[in-house]
Amino acid sequence: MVEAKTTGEVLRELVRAHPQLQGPIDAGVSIAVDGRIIASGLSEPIAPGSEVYLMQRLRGG
Amino acid sequence: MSKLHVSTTVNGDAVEYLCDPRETLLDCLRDKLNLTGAKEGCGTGDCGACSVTVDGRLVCSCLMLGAEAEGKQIETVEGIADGDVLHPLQKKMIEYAALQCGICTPGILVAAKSLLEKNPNPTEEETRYWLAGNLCRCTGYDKIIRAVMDTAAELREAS
Amino acid sequence: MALDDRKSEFTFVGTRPDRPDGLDKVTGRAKFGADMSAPGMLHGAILRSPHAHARIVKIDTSKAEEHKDVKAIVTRADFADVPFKPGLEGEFWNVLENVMAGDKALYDGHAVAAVAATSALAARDALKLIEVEYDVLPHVTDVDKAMAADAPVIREGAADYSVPQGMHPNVVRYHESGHGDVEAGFAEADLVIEDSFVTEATHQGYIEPHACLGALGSDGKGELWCCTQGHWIVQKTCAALLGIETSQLRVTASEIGGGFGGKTTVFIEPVALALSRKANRPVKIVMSRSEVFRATGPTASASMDVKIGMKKDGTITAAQGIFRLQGGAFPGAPGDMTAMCAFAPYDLTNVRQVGYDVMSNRPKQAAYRAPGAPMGAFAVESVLDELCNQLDLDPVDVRLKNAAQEGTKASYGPRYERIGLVETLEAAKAHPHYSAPLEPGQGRGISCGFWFNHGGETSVSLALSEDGSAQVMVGTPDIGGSRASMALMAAEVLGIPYENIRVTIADTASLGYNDVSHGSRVTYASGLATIKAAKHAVEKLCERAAAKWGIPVDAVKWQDGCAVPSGPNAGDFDPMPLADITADMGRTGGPISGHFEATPEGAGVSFGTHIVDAEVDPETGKTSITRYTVIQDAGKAIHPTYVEGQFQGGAAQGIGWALNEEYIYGDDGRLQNSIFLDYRIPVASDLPMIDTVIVEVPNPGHPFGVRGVGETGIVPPLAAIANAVSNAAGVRMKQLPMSPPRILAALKANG
Repeated sequence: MVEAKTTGEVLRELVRAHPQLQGPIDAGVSIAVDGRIIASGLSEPIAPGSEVYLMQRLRGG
Repeated sequence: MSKLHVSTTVNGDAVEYLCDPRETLLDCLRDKLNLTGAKEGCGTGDCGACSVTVDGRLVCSCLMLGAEAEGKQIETVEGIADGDVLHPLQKKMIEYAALQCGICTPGILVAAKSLLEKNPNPTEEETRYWLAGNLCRCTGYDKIIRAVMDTAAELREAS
Repeated sequence: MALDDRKSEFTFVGTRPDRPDGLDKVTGRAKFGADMSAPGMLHGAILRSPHAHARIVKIDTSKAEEHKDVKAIVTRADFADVPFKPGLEGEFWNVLENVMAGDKALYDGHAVAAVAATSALAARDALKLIEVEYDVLPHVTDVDKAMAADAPVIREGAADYSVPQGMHPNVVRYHESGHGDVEAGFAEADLVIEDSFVTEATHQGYIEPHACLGALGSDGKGELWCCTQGHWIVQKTCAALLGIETSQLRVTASEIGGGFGGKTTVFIEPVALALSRKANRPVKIVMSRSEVFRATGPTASASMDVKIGMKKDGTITAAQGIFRLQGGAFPGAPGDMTAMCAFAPYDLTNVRQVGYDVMSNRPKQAAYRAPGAPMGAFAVESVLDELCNQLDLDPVDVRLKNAAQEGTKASYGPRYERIGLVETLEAAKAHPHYSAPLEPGQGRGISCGFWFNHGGETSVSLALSEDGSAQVMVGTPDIGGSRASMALMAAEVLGIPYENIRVTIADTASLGYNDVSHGSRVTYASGLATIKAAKHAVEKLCERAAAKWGIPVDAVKWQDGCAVPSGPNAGDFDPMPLADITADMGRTGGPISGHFEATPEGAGVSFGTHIVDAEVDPETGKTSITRYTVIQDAGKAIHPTYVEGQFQGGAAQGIGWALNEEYIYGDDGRLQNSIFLDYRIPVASDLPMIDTVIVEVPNPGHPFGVRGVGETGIVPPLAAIANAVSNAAGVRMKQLPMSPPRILAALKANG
């Protein structure tokens, strides 16, 4: 369980709580907040009660 | 290797160039005459991006040597418009959005003009087979075929 | 990002004007990559490995250096010392190693040295004078063989953190995701089908080979002209590979003759700059078609196992997929994307997907339109079709029954926002194509497809001129008519005619970083930035009008291209047109411009449904596509004709992938079909007209509702065509391409 108000805070707090996540996060992750996929932004706000989902960073063609 | 002197006519203009015997007509048009409208997509005569007419015949300029152009009449995409008046094919290509990236467009225009000069009333199948030597990777050909057939109809009406 | 400015009624958006670059492109005037030259220019050529895997013992360039026309020769030693890191973390190293081999040649066509000479012919002649001593090593080009215990190792240490212990070193990335309990789900099913599928690598097949013209001095300052989907990534990568400062290299994007993902990285650009630095003259390099096939990025090949359970009423109870993708001699095959996209169209209680990124002795794969998604859809939608056949269910009804919608937990994790899959399926069901009778020997196939879409770093500037016209500078190369879309969106906000707006693809010195034209992002992200930049300019226009009228700025609003008082209390003034404000802007405060930059994070995912009729000739095994309909959610079509063009182009590329196109390697590991005669892409006589239906379910993450449309169109075709062919031939086709020999073999095996 971590507390965070932005996408960047989520990643920072996750690594603090679970250092083994540093690898995957360095390799690139995207964060979905209530279904909206945040590809890379660290300042996207997260409202209380939002559903947050971590996924591998998306790439396009 | 000594170079060859070539005198030829391109889009009605008398031109001269010196070329290596190994250089293609496409190389000479692009590099000696600065006519970069014809494109090299393959160098093997498979894509048609370098299409020009030589004495009225549609050819891939990558398959003809520059030296062979001596005394010929060559027409390229740069010669299709009449001054500032676009050829109906050029207008229809824009109107139908029959190009996305536009790299195949010069070859398609030269080939389609050649088709309509030989066959003013082509069927869809005839149009597709005539243009089968011109690769387009963006459009799926749908809008190109429609543009060419609509131009044919318009030209028939006008004549 | 707050979107308080959504719009659903439009004046310009949704119309179909001529594209602004149309005249240049029909007269031969447009300048593509190879159309540029410079005073004193040299021509470069690249020597390539004839071996699939070999240690480079020695490169002797002495004879070539003596050639009178040769001005520079480079090998790996002429590039920066970029550190090696595992996986995609070390992408600069991967790209450097790809553009110029280090200790080993890793695939047939891998660059080992390059020459600059006074003519293209002299440069090619000089390549023959370079002597390379190779120690040939065992090679592997097949994905399953590359994962086997006895496979030759491409490179130790290339795997990243994600790969479980005990796997072959050629497995470099691993992805696993899903939810629920698939075993429990399979137990609930009335029918479970499990099958294996294979797709070959295909090439994006853009008609313009890579071309560039570079000039770099010993002072570290350079200029580069090239055909690329993104000149900032070229700038950044070339600077890293040459050891110069990024800002000292100005990159200008030429008109681009197709990319489809293949021009999102560099191949020849750093080589031209390295040659130029050594010769102190501009160097132009133009690839041959054979070089494009052998040494640029095709897509990945795939080997896949899919298992789906279904109840008699069509409900999917569980789905599982294992996707092994081979992406050449470097990390990057999109096994993760294949896995995440494969089941994304469906609302599944139990789903599990695994993706592998596997290296082999082939060229470094590059993105190809929805990278990874088409092959996964082929496997999944084939199994779904077989389940429908065996349970005697309508394939559209089954997909509707299981379709994901707003709020569905996606197979890859998050919940969907508003999406348009159901609308595409309903449109398919209602389309006359779906109910049209089939001739004997024909079969019909349908498939859904999904792609994420991407936002990406974006910077746009807009400047108004005194006469009331506007110039827009965007940083995303225009591959398919995007300048028209940008102008339409700017016109919509400014309220001036489309024709009064000139959109330019700015060079790297003119804007901040712009991500590549990829991920279906241009109309979405550059469009959003164009809208915001135009609004920024409108704010300033309102300020000037307020000052002229002597009323507060919040008492002015912008309407139909004019400043107007915002209400009866604001005062009684005639509307002030944009051109009246710009006419004396030099005296009322100076230039009026707008700017916006961000990484827009609202790219909506997109779905499509395709219907295909195919006819199979049992004598020759040849397949003809007799009818094709593309239905896709565009969110909001800015220029509908170019949206149709994207749908049609995606379908045509999918037809090629499904029926003809493949990389064919000999036992010696050399590519056997490196020209268009042997690698046959669809020609005009191969295809029917391609019908399109644009569905518009607005994307909540864009002010006008735009979803990217470029990539989703290639996701359903492989599966839809395979289903049509399988239904026509009466035998399930599990390997692409479904070339005539493969179809004949399948018919024969089926008796």
